[in-house]
Amino acid sequence: MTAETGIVQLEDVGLQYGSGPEVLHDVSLSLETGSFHFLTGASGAGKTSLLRLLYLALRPTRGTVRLFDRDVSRLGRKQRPPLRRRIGVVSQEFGLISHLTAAENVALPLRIAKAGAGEIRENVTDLLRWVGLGRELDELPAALSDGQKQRVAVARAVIASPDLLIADEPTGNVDENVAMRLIHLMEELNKVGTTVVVATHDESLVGRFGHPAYVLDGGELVRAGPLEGMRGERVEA
Amino acid sequence: MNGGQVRAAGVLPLGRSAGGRYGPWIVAAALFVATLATAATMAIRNAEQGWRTALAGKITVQVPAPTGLSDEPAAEIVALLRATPAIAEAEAIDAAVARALLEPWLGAGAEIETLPLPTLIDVRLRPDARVDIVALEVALDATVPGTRIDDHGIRLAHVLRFALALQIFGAAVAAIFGLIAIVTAIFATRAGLSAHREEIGILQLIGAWDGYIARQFAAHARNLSIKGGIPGCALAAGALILLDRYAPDGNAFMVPGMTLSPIQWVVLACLPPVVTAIAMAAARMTAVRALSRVM
Repeated sequence: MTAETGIVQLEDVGLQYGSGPEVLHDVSLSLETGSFHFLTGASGAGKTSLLRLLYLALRPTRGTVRLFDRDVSRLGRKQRPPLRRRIGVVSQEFGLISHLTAAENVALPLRIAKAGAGEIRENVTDLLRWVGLGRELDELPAALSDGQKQRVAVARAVIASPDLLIADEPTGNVDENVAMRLIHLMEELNKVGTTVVVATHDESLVGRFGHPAYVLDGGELVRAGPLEGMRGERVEA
Repeated sequence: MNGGQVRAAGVLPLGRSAGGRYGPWIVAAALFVATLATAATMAIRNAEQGWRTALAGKITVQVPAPTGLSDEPAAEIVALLRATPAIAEAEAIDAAVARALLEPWLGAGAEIETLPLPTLIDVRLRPDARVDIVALEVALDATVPGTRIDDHGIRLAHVLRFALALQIFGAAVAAIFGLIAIVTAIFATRAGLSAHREEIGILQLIGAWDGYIARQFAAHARNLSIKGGIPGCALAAGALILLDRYAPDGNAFMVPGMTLSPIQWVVLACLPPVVTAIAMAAARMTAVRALSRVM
């Protein structure tokens, strides 16, 4: 199997945690720059493991993962952070730092990138207002609802204009309205060139948007493309 | 509400941990002892130099006097000593002075005049002169039987050896307690790494490099060392000033005073910044090493 050239390329990737069973088998896929993909499948299908490979939290046990044309297995420790800064990550658990305010959480990627204080304040305030949290800038995560936390997490993921946005079940903890709003927010980012991958177990959500979906089943990629008409087709990317 | 103000403070709340709260007390206690031990080491060194100056190149000759009060045998010995080329000066100690020296030990009411005291002769040798003490003692004994030489050099050598041992001991105590302050910073770093694993994971996920995270721990170690080190060192300085007030004048009874030179005070003042710098480097290394084991 060969993958097409793109921002993300996986070739025959296998993943195993320690000496446990393999959780991903021979996964090959390619994401074009500026594309929007869903990644779906039942709980335990391997979606989170696949995403963790994409945002460099794991190394594949076998096969090749290429991000931005670089083989991640060959990256040295110092080469990983610059690559991670090109990736925005939204996790189901929000991943917010509890003692930092919403604004400070969102500012983190810019602080790490050594942006100036004025630039940070302006961008953070604008972005949080854009996601509807203009009044919650100085609130700690504990004072926010799950939907608000998720919007803070999304704002933090996109503040530094990443090339790739990876969202793991971003709608899992929010009501339908907020879920739709978050996906629309990601679509807006996609329109300005960000490649987006959204993992969700909610196939109805996938059906409402016209984006192609990869479907994982038992650690294998079994379908690719729009859900309708792709059932049962094995991915030969 | 502060209008989305983004504080430049550390991202990890390291100061709120137990290590952050109690660490400065441990560092303060360690720096207090380290400062005192360093000061004691320097005071002993000062005393040692005083002893060297006071006793080097000097001997004392004891001339027995059957009557205890006769100066005639002593005069013969003084003459002989003055005729010896290696000797610069020989002076018999006045009997009244010798009795005054004994009075504190025997009491004011003692009949010291009746005691058969030897006559003491202070002898100063010429600089760089080599004197055969045994041959000189034989010659003196031949002139006045029973005359003995008390060579301060031998006693001084014993005292200096002991002083050196005390200095080594003092330096070791200072080093151990300085090390305790540094180890406190290392333990605080390890505790922080463990307590804030989740936050560190988030920082790594958004592209923080190891140095960025390690810098937070180095800054925490700096705060810990400054908060504890400066008060600990200042308290020790106060104790030293107080001790110096109660120390005997000069080198009375061979007891060293606690008076330090300005340079030595500067050395003591340098202890907190030196410990802080080492603690920061140790915290940074500990953090980098721990972070290198995770993705």
